[in-house]
Amino acid sequence: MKPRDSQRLLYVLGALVVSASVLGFFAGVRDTGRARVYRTPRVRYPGELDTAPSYRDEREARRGNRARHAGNLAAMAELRPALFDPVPDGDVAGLTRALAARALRRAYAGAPPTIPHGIDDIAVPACLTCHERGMQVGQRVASAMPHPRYDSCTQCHAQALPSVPRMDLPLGAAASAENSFVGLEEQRGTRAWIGAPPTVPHRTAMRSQCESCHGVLGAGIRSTHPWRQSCRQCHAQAGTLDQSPQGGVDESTPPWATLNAPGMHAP
Amino acid sequence: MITAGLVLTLAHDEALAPLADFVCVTVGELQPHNRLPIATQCDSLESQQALWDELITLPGVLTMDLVFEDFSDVEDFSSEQLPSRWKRREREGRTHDLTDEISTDLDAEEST
Amino acid sequence: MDRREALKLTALAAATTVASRRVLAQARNPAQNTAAIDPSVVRRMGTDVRWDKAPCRFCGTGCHVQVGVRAGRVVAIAGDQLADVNKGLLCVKGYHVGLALYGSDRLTQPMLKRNGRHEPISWDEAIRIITDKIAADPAGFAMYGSGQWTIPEGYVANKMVKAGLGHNNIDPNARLCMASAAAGYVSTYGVDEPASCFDDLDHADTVIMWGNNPAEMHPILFSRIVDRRARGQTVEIIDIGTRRTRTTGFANHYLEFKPHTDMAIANCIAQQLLASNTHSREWVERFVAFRKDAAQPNLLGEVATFEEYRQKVARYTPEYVSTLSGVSVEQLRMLGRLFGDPAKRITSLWCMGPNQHTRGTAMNRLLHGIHLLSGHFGREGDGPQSLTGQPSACGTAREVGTFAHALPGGLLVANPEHRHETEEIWNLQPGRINANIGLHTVEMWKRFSTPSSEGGSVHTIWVQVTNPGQSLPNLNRLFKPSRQLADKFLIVSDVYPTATTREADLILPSAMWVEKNGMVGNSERRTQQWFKMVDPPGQARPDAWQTLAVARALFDRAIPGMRDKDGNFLFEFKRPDGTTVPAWEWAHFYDVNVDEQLFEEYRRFSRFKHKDLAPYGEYVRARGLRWPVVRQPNGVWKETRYRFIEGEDSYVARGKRVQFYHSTSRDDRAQMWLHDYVAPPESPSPEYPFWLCTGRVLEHWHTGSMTMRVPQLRGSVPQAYVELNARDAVRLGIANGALVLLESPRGRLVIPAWIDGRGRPPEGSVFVPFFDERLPINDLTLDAHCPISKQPDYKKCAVRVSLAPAGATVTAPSPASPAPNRGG
Repeated sequence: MKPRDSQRLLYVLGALVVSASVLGFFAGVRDTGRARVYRTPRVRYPGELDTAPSYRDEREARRGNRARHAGNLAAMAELRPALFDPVPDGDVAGLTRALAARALRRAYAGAPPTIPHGIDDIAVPACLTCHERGMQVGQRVASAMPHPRYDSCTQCHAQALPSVPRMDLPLGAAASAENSFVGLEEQRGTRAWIGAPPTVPHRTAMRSQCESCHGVLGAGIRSTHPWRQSCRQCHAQAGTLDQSPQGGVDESTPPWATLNAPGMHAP
Repeated sequence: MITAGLVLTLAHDEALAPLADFVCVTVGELQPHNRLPIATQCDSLESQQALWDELITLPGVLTMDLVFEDFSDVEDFSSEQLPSRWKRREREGRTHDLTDEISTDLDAEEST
Repeated sequence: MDRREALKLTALAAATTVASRRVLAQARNPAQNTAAIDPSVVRRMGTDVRWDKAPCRFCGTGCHVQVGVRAGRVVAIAGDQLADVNKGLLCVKGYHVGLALYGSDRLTQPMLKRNGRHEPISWDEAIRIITDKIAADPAGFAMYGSGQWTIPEGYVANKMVKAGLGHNNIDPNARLCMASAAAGYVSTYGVDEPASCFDDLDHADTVIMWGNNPAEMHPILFSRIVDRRARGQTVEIIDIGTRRTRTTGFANHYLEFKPHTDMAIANCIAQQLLASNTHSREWVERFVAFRKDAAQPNLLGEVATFEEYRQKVARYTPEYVSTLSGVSVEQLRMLGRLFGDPAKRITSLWCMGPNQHTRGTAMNRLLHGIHLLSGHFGREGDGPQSLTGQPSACGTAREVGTFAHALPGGLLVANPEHRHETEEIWNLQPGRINANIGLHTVEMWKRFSTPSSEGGSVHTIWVQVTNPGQSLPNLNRLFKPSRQLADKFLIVSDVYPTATTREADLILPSAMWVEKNGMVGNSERRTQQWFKMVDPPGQARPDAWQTLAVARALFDRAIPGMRDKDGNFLFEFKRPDGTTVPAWEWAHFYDVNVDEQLFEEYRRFSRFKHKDLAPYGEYVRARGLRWPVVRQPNGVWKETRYRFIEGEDSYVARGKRVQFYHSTSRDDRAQMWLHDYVAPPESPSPEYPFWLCTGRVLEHWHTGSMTMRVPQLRGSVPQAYVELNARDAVRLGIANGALVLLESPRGRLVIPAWIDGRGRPPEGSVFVPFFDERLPINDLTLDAHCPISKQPDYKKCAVRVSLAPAGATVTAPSPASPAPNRGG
């Protein structure tokens, strides 16, 4: 095997350098016919991110002069911890960190996470290249969708950092762009006794594919036994959360009646 | 000046020797599994690419992984000038917080 | 150490870190890292979150969300799985709707502009100031409301103006968004609002998007369509548009037409149906009558014949329309074949494209027409349906009739019988309802911006739940001049500082969404209800209370219109024991459910036009019900999915199959209209060579006053931009991100270019979203409007595009007042 053939690029940390996904490498300018448009460097801003590739880029990457990356992408998809790798139970520090990392990208527990990297703004389904099955890219994990397949990803997931071109603008009429919302935290499951299987501490609507977060790629919240497929066989839903479609809506006492306690509406 | 950090995976220790001939390559400390961190500093993207092409063909060098790239000194930089696989946006001053970012990331994920 | 050396070491360190990462992990003590994490992140929650249902605050789709409340604050949102509309799914705005309450600059106290500054005043003083203005000259007072008014809020305002002040100068911002759709329905079916419903999206073989982009603007409805593909079903999407969008990415066919020629495309379909004899004979013979515009276009028009129709559309051959529209002959033939196939189920969707159109009513009629002519109507998945952009554009603007020409329940000011019915229900002296149609939006603001001595008869406008200082077209003509006129007084009720509150003379802080009880009506005739869940901040109060308080103050000053014919106040609220509650006093506003009592009164109007609403309690239990909601013999209230269709609609007589029981030709037929293609009022010229189109983006809703305060949404799209075709950019030397100068005959704007971004306009065409107050694209847009619906055209005007000169910046207006006091 010639060395060049074996040359592989670990996108991984190259991507870290710009805090973008591995796919960032394919980014940027595509159609050479329009190259002149981009000759003048555009203004760049702190935190600006790479763009994930469109399907066209993906195809191009498989043929043409970028072909070697394609092999890597496919190879990377296979790079994941083995199903039977031992996982320590009771790793509180890992869990704490994992929950903190989750909270960074969500407005509240159960909110769709924001997208931490650039995307192709028009060819949205390109997301599925990595996120359909999930992929580990070095230390980064592109998690699989925890919900049934939906194609219009940006319907729910907003980019954490925009690809919109920007200029310096005042706030306008707004006195502030701050928001004082405090979101619900991720909760912990409980155990009936030491050694009992913990309960599921969150709703399972839109989070029905347990292996997306708790499978082999799930740092900190990884199951100790990811090979078992029927999770709810042992893990009951937490009684503290009403997970019925009704969601605990109590129709007998309208909140406006109870909120009208004296002092609630001091004029 | 364009600075890059790379990791070479070597087949054997002897592969280290030829690297000393490159003035623009700084060699770090060999790590387990024959992984060698290096830094390269070149005047232009073209010369950088030429250097890398040469490095990867050295006997005993199995793989080369890019982990760090700083374009802040490239004047009038346009992504058009880059070989296609490096096309991306970068910005000045980005480099300094990277190490933190990397280690934070490792912190978050390694301990499990 | 010099910079190069530092960089080199950084690079080497990064590489070393990677190369040694296994080693690194072992060397670290995990316990040390834990200390840095805030333990509150993993705090246990317990059972203290209370969940309740509410429709989403934003668009007209009407998704239901579940709102999690803890300690008096919204802490989480979930999609409501019981909701028919969204089936548990939400869009990015919906998932973050709870954050819209908590922008840190909420308005918390009334403020009066004195010497150019907004100073806090008391509610009593604010109510007194408004009352003074109205009492001095009731005829010069106008209300400008919104499709975001809840049904009870709109009802109170409507009754206060039309019964209390004796004129009809009240209009909602819905005039700017779906007046053309309403006019299209009324003139086609004799009664407003879609005959079909969202269920179509689950059953259609083909969905045609007429100039709309639901992937961004109605994401939930779009997912209802494309998710069928993920489930293995086949659904064909045809995108007929003027620029490539995210919707185009999912479409099987993309038909790019020259702006305004959609009229010709619709006619081309009719031409092909008739030429190939694939139209539905049954529909033409049994269910359809023909109409054409009178010399002065109006809702009713004149009777026409099938033969006239046939002759009129004969010239719209695919070859002719192809040259006109730029759509290929083959694509036009594809549309003709599609409609000619009776087996296919075809759903047409449209929103602002055909509505914000100087021939908007005509375009809406033509869309209904091709469905009627081909018989693609009244089956699941087979019919025309317009979408709305506001949560209650249908519920409050159209059904409560807050338009200048309308009365509640689909009744019309111009109809003497309708006025009589209204006077009966409101217990007014006969003749109290003014027979003259009031001022529509454009006219209202034009008169407000014209000096009183020159015919500007409106001296005071009270704006509720909308932001005209950003959303009106041609702001330099309709909005800004009034701010220079000393005798023009602008009152604004809102929740955040906006481009409008900045210019307001009096600002009233409002409660929003789940800070009050509410009811709204979505695009598919679905009426929805929610309860108050949290308190509004500071002194913010519901708009319904604000209007009630002013009406009562006018009553106390003996303004005669505020009494019914028995001398009682127009708005009476009763306790269960029959005693009266002074709900206009804030301390008593929540003594009873004001919403329920207003709704039960309003509900009496709904039977006239067969828009029957159920009792309030039914809506408390349901995730919305689609009217007409008809009580069945077994006592169950049954909603209606498909109007005018036997077996679905309780009001269709047995054996009729299809019955348009409000037909304007009084023969149970729908009207098919003849309309020729008419050139737009302004087209690109050598001086202004580009088309400008404006619109929304997924993340932001309307003028961004709420969504720009939500970090996740603002972070994703922090500001507006102009989408430009790459070839045009090359020609003009404009780079991606470069500042571009846009100029129309009416205004100019400096804005950064986005090339090959989210939307891709064709050559000679640009697009700018209007959510960004700091980049007010409506300084450039046209105020020309449809002659019938009076809805302006925001979708096309001519502009010049050039690279902004060096140093060009936006001159964003500076705030007229210091930041409002946040503490309340």
